[in-house]
Amino acid sequence: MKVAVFVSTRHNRAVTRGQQLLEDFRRQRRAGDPRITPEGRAILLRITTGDLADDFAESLAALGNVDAMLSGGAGPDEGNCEPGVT
Amino acid sequence: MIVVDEYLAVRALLGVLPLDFPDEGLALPVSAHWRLLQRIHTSGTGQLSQVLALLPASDREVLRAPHPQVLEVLDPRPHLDEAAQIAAQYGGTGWLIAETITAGLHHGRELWYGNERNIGIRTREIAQELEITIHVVP
Repeated sequence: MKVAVFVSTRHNRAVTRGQQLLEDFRRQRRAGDPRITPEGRAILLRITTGDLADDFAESLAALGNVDAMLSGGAGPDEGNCEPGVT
Repeated sequence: MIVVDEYLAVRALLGVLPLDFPDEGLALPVSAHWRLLQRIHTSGTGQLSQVLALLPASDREVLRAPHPQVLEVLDPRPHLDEAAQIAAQYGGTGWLIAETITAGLHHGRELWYGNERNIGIRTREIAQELEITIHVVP
């Protein structure tokens, strides 16, 4: 009986520790990269969700259009190496 | 692991993904990483270029080598032949589309984008034929 309790307790502790570790990993993942600076954050927010977001998409597409290996020589109506399809 | 585009990759690095975003590791195809880095290094006279030119060195380093716990850049080599087959089958798609589609096939048959405009026509068509679901996160 004592052995059973010991195993159960040990098992529970292990799970708890594992869950805690997974939660720590999750939290770190969701927090982003700590090396980002406030200035960089402001710029990167503008290009991904702010006023420059559409310009960013078009500039990525334009890069694909001039890089044959990346785009496979896709013309302006092909692939995601061109302005999107909104 | 889910495959994301440049937008969601950057948002992940900023820690600003939506709360209801899947709680999984994120993977960026190396061709998309290449395109993102190309954009960061390309100079120009437009507003976007001027703003990107102000990006501090520390943040450039984050984009260059993302923390793998936050964002993993996929190694394309294990599935390179598959990507080449897809490119050939669909008429020379190029590396970006072929690698992205292949990555989607191997990671839950899903692709996640942060901007509708970043999804091309051919990507949509090929994804549909291969039963890969495309998600767009506003």
